[in-house]
Amino acid sequence: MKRAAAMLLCPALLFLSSCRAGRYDFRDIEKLELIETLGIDAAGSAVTVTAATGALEGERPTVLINSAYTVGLALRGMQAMQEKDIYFAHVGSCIVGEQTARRGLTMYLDYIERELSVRYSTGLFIVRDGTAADAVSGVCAGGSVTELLEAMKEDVRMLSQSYVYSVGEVAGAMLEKGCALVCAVELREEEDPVSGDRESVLEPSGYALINGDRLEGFLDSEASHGVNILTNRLSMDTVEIPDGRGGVCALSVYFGKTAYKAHFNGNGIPAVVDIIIKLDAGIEELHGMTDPYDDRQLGDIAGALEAVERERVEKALAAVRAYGTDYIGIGRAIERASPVGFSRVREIWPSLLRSIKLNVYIDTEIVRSYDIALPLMPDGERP
Amino acid sequence: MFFGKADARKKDTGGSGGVNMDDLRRIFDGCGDFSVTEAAVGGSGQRVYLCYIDGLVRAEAVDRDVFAPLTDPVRFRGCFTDGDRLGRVLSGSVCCTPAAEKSSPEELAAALLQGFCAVVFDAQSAAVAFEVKTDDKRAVTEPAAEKAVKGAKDAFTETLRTNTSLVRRKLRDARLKTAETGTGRLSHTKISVLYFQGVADPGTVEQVRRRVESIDADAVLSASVIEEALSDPRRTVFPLVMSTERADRFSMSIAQGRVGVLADGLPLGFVVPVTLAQTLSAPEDRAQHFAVSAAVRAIRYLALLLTVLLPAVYVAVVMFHQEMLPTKLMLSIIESKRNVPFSTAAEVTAMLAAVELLQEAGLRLPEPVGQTVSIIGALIVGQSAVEAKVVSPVVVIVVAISVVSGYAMPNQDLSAALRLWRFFFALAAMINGMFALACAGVILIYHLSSLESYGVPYLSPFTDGGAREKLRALFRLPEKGSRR
Repeated sequence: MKRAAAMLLCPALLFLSSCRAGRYDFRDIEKLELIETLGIDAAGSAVTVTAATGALEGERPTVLINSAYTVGLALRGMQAMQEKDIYFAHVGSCIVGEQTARRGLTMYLDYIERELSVRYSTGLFIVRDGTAADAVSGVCAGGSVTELLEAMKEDVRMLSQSYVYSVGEVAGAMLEKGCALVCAVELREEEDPVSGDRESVLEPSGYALINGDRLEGFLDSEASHGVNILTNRLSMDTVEIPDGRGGVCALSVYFGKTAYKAHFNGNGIPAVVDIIIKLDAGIEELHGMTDPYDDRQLGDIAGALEAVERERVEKALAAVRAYGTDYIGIGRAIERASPVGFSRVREIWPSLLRSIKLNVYIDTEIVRSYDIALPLMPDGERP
Repeated sequence: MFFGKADARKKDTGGSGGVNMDDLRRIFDGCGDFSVTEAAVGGSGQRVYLCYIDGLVRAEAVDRDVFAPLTDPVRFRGCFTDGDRLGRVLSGSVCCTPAAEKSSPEELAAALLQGFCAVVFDAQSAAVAFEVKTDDKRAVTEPAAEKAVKGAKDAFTETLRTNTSLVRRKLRDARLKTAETGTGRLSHTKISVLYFQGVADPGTVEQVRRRVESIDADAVLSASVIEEALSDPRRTVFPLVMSTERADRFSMSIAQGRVGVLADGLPLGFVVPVTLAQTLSAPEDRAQHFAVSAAVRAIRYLALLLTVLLPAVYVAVVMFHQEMLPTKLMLSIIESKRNVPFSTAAEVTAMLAAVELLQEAGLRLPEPVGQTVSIIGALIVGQSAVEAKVVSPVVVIVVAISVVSGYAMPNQDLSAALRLWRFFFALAAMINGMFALACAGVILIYHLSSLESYGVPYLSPFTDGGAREKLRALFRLPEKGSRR
């Protein structure tokens, strides 16, 4: 009896599961128009959304532009523009125009956060001196904006350019810190070295600084490098420095770690913050250096590297102090180490940040250096 | 003989008034291979009939061991009456082979069909049977379906006694019992129940005996008759009886306390009780390093999941839950499905059916032809179909992985059961994606949990065992650790 009941119950569950899901509406995958990049521009009380697909083999990406009062309505309106079903679950990048970002990001981030089909991991970009529609349409005229942005996400790791924060990360930072960093891009015209045609490309252009939910300003490339170091986002970076003997040395900085230590005064207020940075680098190329094992020469190189990185860090800190907004998260780092001490200054931290003394200590070490002229030792190592 | 039914049969036919040639001829009327030769006992005038079934006996043994001694006057020296000569033959001092008196025509006929030769003393209504079975039987060869790389190479043959001897050679212990009975109204097939006394559960032994005795079939000529008698096939397609052609696997199961069944005419041994974990272990596991075996066994469990779920998960994801796919994979799938006119559901169903068709065709044909069919089929269904845009390459890959994973199952019956469930899961996925797939998974787990083989849960030790037993089922532990 029980078995019979179970056997009846199982098919019932099978169909009830459909009711719970609320759909039998399967979609054949080949009939989907896979939108991978969204561009958002505010225009008066309306919003213009530009959607671009990736480029399938032998095809140009499809670009759809539609305006409505909300992002959702604009996207739904695109369905009427072509035959296939528009599918937003694979949107990997979202570009916002500069003017739109200056008016506030909350409305657009809110749509992405609430819309089930769009992912939190969608990378967020702000176009410097331009609109998202121009950026998407311009790049897609000669190539694929999706591929370009995906490549940019990968390149960041190798070139230590602006880190591409996702929508989830930006929204989280805005909630927690009241500010956020967003990867800034710039639309440029350049000549194709093969065909000679002029085409539009998007290039990384430092960080966009979001205060509250509005764009406050931009950091240039050097300051962005400093931000990467200060936010422990440093990945592989190549730095060219003079070796002090007329030559140039290329260093590969492959490890960086930054720690923050606050010193409190008698009133329990942080008076000084030590920023301790540890950088490891290896020599990639030598031009003019005579002895790679000479501690003095290596010391000179390490010193030169420290100077370069210090300048970047100082630039970043100066920008942060100028805006009075803790984009880097120094306050959060101090709070983690001394929660009680920081609680006294949490409310005044932005203004305190402008005046607090920041000591930057950078310890650079050249941990790899080979002289390829020397023979290998029996164990395969160089002496 | 301990089987009550056989004893009863003997009582029914015994003592029915002697044996004569008329009765015997009537029984074998129309049997061209029934051979009768008239002879004079010891050169006297006493006429007897030498009867046998041609082909079931060794002709030279009949001549040398029965006919020649029976007609040799020297062997009957001192016998003056027909009764004396009959008594000497019955005493076994005339012929070289064991003699047994048969008291009824039916009993004699049964003996003749078992390869005996009978001497019928028509005037005395008496008959004596001599065992002169033919030696014509297939030699012990390597297993065809369960290949062994590092294990024993002897597989069961169609001869029961050869099979019991193969087991005896591996388990030389008097506690190994082989209880025999005959079954099949027309085939009178001998069936042997093997178990280790003191190791096997007496209740299971008794249950197996009862089930074997209760076989109600005209002829026991196929494995399914035994399997259906030992289990209830209406309950499940999963194997509740393990059949194997490998003597070492059979013997190992017996040594572990299971009960085995061998049948004359079937080159297979049957073992009960069976669990899912046992069907996923192979004899080769014990022939390799335990770490290698553990890894291989883990892969088998993975293969089990792949063979059942992969087509269904593909259908569910591609038709209903495209957001689950990584973007690049989704683009690859879209690319591969361009210009394919059929829906994903149709593609997967057709491919699964085509593979089953090819497999069946290859199985039934002679080996060289079967291979050709498989190769041509693979080319047609695979490469040509993809090139002609009839199916997408991704579907071919998914179905191929699923089918190949099925071949990784050490037990063919389990593999066959999984093939059916693969269709069920794919169908569920086509109805409502992952939701239906989850329901199908619940149904499968419920079904497996409800199965028992002779009182042992089918999912044992996963449902009722300790951590160590579960670990032992999933991975082969070193021999010291896996000793019972």
